Amino acid sequence: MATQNSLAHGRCVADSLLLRRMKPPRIVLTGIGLTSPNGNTLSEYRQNLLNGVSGIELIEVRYMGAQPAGVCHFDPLKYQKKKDVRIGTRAGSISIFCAREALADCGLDWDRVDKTRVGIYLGITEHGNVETENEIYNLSLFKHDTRFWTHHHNPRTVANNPAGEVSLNLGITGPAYTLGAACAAGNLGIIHAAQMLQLGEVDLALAGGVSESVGTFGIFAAFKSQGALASHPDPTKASRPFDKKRNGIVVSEGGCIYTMERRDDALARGARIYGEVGGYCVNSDATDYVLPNAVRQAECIRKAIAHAGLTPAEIDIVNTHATATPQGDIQECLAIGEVFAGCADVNINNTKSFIGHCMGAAGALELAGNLPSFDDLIVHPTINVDELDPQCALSGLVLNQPRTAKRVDAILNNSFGMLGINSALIIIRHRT
Amino acid sequence: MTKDECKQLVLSIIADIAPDEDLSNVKPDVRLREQLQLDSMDFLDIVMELRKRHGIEVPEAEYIQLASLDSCAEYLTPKFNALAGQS
Amino acid sequence: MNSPSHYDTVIVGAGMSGLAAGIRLAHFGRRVCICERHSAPGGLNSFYSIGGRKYDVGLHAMTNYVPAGTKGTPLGRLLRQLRIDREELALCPQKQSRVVFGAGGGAGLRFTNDRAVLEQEIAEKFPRQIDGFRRLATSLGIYDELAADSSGASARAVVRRHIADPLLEDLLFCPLMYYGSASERDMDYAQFGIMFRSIYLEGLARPFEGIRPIIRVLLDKFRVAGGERRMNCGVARLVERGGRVAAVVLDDGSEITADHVISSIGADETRALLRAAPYATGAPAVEGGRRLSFVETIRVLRTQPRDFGWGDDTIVFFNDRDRFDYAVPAEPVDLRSGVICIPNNFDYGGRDLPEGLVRVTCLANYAAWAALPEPDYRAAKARWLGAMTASAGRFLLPVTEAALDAATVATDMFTPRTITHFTGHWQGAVYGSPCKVRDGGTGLANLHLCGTDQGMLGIVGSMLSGIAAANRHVLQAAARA
Repeated sequence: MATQNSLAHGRCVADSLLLRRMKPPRIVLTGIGLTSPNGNTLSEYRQNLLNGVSGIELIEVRYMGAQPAGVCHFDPLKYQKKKDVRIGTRAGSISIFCAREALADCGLDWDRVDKTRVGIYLGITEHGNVETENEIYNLSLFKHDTRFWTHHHNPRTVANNPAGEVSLNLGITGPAYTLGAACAAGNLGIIHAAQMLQLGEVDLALAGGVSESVGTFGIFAAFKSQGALASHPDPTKASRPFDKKRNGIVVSEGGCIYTMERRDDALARGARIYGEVGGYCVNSDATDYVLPNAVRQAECIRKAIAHAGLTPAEIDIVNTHATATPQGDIQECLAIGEVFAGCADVNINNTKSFIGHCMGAAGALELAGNLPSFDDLIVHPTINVDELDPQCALSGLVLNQPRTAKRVDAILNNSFGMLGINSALIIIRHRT
Repeated sequence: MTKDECKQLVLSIIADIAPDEDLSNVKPDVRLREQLQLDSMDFLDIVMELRKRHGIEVPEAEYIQLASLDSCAEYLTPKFNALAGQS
Repeated sequence: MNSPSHYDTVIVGAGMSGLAAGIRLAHFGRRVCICERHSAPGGLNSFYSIGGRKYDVGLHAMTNYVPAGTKGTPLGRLLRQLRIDREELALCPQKQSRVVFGAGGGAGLRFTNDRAVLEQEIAEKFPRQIDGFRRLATSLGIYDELAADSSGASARAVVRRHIADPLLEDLLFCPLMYYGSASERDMDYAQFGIMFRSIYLEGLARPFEGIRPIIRVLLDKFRVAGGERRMNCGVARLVERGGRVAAVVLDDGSEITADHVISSIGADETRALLRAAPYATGAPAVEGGRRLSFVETIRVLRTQPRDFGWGDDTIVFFNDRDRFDYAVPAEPVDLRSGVICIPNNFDYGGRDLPEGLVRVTCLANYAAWAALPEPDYRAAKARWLGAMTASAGRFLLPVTEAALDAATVATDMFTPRTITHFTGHWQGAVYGSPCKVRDGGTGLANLHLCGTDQGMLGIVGSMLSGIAAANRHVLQAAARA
């Protein structure tokens, strides 16, 4: 429709884009919805982090027997009908639960929100493994006769399934898709949403990460084959980043979705603000399929801090990615040690010791566990460090017991993933 | 399309329009309005769904042909087959 | 023509009737666009929030409620036509309602969703009228409002053939008038029949969350069926050419075209769109006669109403004298009568609403409110809030002003001015014009009315009105062509 009006409109859009690039709008987090092995509300989850309570339990994994894993215990029927739970996926249920909780938390009158201007951006490590493995198993019961393969399989396994199920459940007609970024995906959801809000693509973003990975034996078996699957007689002690006796990853499911808005919109409606997106960086190791590269991680962290207009001394909490693999923890400590050399007051912790590795949800969930520190100045610890590995002995580590900080104005959230993807996200305390 | 298939098709349309009706014992030769709680709005919907799903047109003057399942089959089967012949 | 700005049908107004019409048309593959001036859907039954708290505009209770499995009723017809599962509306029945007259509350009737209760009340309190009442109820019970024509007969005259006691007559008319009459003092017998059936022979209900689940279901159905809805996009003018609507001019000046237009904004309001003058809020008060309007106060309590002993009544229709005068008052508010609605007192299956809610509605004079400058308007609202609370308080178990204030966390109030501002209906009219247009005709071949002025009343009625308009004037018209 090439009329005078649309040309003028096009010019206006270009002008406003230019303006935004010159000074991008500030982005804030206004609502949180989560489910984790340690709780289904922020307060429950935070309380367990402060009390040193682990959410890991033993589950039966097909072909592998009992394994430590992080399982979520939320009620999918709170926001879905039985039929939708049956037709959809676990990741979809987790996403819907978190999105609805975040919307309930953020104070918006959802019935009045323009659904065409809402975007859903969810980070995932993988999607489709659970459904495919289970369907192949079901098929084996019918002698692999493919006539019995479910017609629900395609919509269940497309990578955007979690975001799509949220869009269906809430009637959201704006963009809805996932971002595949291995274990960095949780941060990527938030970063991408900030960018979309800054571009004016949407007015409200539901962003974060989700994972259903405990439903597939394949991920457990692969980690085991890599020598990277944790084991311990007591499941609550199986995830032990930085500990001398750590022996690998505890696989977990979970989800954390934030409502994100441009700061001006949030202030205008009197929203409660959990924090502001300060800065970020995403880069790649380009080194190895699996093993991390401390040099590239350090570079990623430094660039994020610069992007936020800060110096390392101004970072108050560093939430490490550390998954409790023997090598991975060491590489990250090297990177952090280098960037924060001489920073006496930085507090370093880890959430995977409590909830295991929530894959696509990790970055988003681990950030949520630290956001309340802006208000109460308490830094939660990393637990299960009975004997600190000397190669991970960073002076700022908060071990086993929470610590009160002098100041919490900036939180750095690290998430690194396979194929060398690194992400560092900085959230700053919002001041009016 | 056989007449029996046509009756099944009409029943499946009625099932979508009136999901609360029990269709298990519908007698094909008795007027539908005497066995089921269907009013003129429901009959309009049967006509509309025939058009929407199958491209079949039923002029208002011929609505009376849809009075019972048997009369539906008599009237609609040739229309279905005519359409199939054209495609 | 398949251009982006041409539709099969444009529907003016995203209220209950407009949405229902849209669902019917979209379901059968028509390209529909609903244009709504306000930012929220629902029209006279919309919703809003203040201070993080959600409110309903219109809904006290949905009439026409029948238990699951009841056949051949307006509610059943509505669910079928819109392909809605009954459970999606999640309707919860009332506990009981009371009509009470006399300053001491001396005379009254109780009724529930079981029509036997009202019959029993009349048999006990008006034993000489019970036979007449039964005759009246029977004749009204076989009524089909979709086929009904505006009989023009006076409801009072017909009722008096069966009921000879003026007190009983007024007690029966009171709820029906408050919940649906656009006429002062009397009603068209056809309208009376619709209201009598929907309240006394059927019943009252409300979803736990109020109006929002109903609107959500309608919006979802419409969206899934492929309908388009433009909010903050009112219709400013309808351009006529050769006895048809040739173009629809929107508030921003742009034009869209359609083969059909269905308007839910009211008969006179629609005719105003046809005139050359651009849209103006608040039409001339004289035009179209006097309109009945209301003020309503909403009080949010930190306690459940039953803690005040107000736990039994869902609705109380009160009148402080023996004869009931339903008319536009001379003063801003008529304190003599009104409706108390306590949304907590529906049967929610063991659940409690999170807060206590009490609504008081009284007849109001639009002109008296419309003329006030803003600070005077606010002051008047505060004054009348107190007066209405006191007036209504005479008909509930007494509670001291101090106790009520201590328990009150929030109040809100809307006036005839609020209604016109948000819905565009003239003079704050909630039930439209006293002259209904049963066939929905406007004189233009492709422009038809639905909603209140088409003559179907209540939330169920207005949705059926939209359905009937879509069926009759678009879907069947095409079939005839």
